[in-house]
Amino acid sequence: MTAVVNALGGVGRAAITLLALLGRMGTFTAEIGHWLVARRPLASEVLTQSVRIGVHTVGILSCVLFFIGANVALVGYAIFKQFGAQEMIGIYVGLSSVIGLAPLIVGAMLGAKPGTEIAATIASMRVKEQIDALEVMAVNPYWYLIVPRLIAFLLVTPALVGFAIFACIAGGYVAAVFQLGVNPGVFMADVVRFLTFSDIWKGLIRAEVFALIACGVSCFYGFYSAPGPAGVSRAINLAVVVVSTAIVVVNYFLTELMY
Amino acid sequence: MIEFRNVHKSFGPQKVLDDVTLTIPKGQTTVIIGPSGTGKSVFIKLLVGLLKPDQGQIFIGDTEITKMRERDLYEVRKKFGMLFQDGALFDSMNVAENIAFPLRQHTNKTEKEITAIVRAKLAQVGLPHAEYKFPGELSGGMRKRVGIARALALEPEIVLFDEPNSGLDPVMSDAIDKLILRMQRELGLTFIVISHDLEGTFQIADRIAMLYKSKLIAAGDAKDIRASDNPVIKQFFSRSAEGPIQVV
Repeated sequence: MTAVVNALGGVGRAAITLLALLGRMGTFTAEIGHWLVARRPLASEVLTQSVRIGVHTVGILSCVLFFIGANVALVGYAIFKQFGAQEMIGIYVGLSSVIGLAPLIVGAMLGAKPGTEIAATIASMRVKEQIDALEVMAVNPYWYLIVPRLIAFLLVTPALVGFAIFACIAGGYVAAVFQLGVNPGVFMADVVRFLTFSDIWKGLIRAEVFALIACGVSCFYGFYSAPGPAGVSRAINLAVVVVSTAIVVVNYFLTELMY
Repeated sequence: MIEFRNVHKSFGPQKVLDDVTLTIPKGQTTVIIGPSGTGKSVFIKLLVGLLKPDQGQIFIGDTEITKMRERDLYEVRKKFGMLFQDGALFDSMNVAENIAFPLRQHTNKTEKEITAIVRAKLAQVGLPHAEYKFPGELSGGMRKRVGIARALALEPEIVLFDEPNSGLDPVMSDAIDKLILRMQRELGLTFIVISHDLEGTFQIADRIAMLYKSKLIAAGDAKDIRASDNPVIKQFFSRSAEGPIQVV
């Protein structure tokens, strides 16, 4: 009997915690929505954040996607070779870069690099009472801290996707041409042969959705950080775990919806 | 004048303020004292609208802030300056930018005017050459003084100090108390100080209010409170572990 009561108590507590979390998320989203339209964001802050997010992410993103592109070429070559179509790996590299990999990795990188930085910054501002200080100085923290970052994420993402696609195809090209001996002209012609503008648009939309998730989730966990260094580290940890999980799950549904 | 009328505040089952009624006069320094965990910081957060009371009313002048919308509260908050426990300076900004921040947000002053105000405020708190230092390069006492300069930047009517002596050595602590005293005498503003530092309290307070076990147990002129026969106040002022205040 006691075990049943304890189990029911546990379920009840979990349900209350979940409801409280959903309530916070709802309030957080509504506040951001309100401040996105209620007052023009500080252009200087949007610019600063855009530069920081873009510059800090583009190097590591290009590097990662270069190697992913090279890996795609190697794997694609091994698969296509089984039915004698290894010369067509350009198609595989081109389509997988634009449709799948570039938007997904951009989202993941945004969560891992500027996302964690944002979670850490906002969480430590919360812990050091700097967010309370903003409120007391009559400056809304959603307007000042979160809206500029969100806009910056959305502004920078298309450029990052461009870099990502370029790096991924470049990696594929290097592996295919210099390592596997594929004809460079054939490779490049195949890369663009089946690509449409619709693929590029869909890739951009997916990346923007991932950017929204990466920024929103990171800001959320930073904003509601628990006190002390443990609170900050938990906020960062939760931000990374939730962003990466959410992006993978949402990616599946977006693919289902778009293709 | 600031007025708390029958204010109650709880967090879950824990009662933090229980039926607190207090009037804080204009143009004087009122120090709110009490043992740790008696609701002093909650009191200050209620005053600036960072928290809402469960029951009761809070008036700033003639304006009741308790049921105010967030947007209107921002207007009321422009009357306040606040020194947080550790200064709450923005790490990404230098000292000058920190002090200039409220001016840039709420006034149309030119950069030249803002620079002049920043320099004047820094001189007022005795840090004339700290403009370009970052908070991480400052000592605890310097951070507090920059915090005071920022709190005064918009020339508020009411200035709040949340434990201005916490984490400071006795010499620096005394320097901060003297600075608060001098600022109040020079500017004639309403100062509200949250503290459990007795030396500082006796030095700066015109009035003292004491919170104990979530209730306001005394409020009045500093010398009257000091002479009080209330055993809780006597124990607190005598810094004794023996008496009605239980050491947990």
